[in-house]
Amino acid sequence: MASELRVDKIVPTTGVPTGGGGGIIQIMQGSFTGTKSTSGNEDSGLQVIITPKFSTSKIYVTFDGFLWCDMSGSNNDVQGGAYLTRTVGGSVTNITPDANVMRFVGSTQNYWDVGSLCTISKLDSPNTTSAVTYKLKLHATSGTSTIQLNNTFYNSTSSEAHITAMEFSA
Amino acid sequence: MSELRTDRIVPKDGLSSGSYGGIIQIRYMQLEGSNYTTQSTSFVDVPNYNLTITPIRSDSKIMAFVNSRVANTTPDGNSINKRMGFNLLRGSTKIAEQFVGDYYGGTGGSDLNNYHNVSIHCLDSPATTSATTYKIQINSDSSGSTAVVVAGGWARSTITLMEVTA
Repeated sequence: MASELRVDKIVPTTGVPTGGGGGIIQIMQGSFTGTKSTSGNEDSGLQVIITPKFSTSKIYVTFDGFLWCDMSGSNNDVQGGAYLTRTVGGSVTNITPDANVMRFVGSTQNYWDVGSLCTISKLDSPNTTSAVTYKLKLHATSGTSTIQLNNTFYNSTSSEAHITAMEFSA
Repeated sequence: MSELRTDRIVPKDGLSSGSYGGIIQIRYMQLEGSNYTTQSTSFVDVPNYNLTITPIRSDSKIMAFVNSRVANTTPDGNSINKRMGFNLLRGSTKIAEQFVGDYYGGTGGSDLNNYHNVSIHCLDSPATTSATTYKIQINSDSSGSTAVVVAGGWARSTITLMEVTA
């Protein structure tokens, strides 16, 4: 029989580093294979829920996915943002800045599009043992732009986006 | 509540060649303040974009994750390259490198500021229990182009270090 060690916390013998954490005690992951496009500022549909074992724990949240940003008219500035939020009991907090992650500026050309793999990470301190929902939000930060999570243009390859939450002892 | 105080986590039967065990500590930083810009074609340190970890064991691996928002800006013009290098160093030793940018092939280009995402995942072997600093250096690869690391406003640039026992 495989051995199994059940513990609530994992820390170095000398304690956790200041501002950091010890070992991982649980991991949760959410994925999203559809597409979500917006010309506003709204949820992408990608989320993960984790219930920390301890209020002192750190939650390391990572996002990876393909973002596509385009414009709908004659503008030369394509801008789009993606950011992470934490929701606990209906209270929503931005844990990364609501700001551009993509921008592509051309000349006086129409219909510029730009796509890029995007990663975001944050070591969060939710200070709770209640269920915590981490979401990716999309924000088209130029009035003529739209931003899209994943891309299935031309029915070629689709992509899968992930949001991962790891609880570190602290 | 049970708490395991340990400096090494491995499977009961040991580690197979090339594999590693559990994580025993994590450190994280995000760059704050003003954006850093340079036109240097030699690699230069990005001020404050560094993180120090003190490994518990000298045989541990350090898993480094770097997520950064960068930009390239150029003067107005035609047919312009906007490229930059992005290196991760342990002390003065380069352990990973990235290269990002694009090319504007049109005419009459203006306000050419394009953002990019840089991501590095690197498993390093510092072989020490002394404090070890990981830092970022950048350069501008194109004459006249300015390389930018975003520190605030637009987004955040981060470094995460995890000590993985071996």
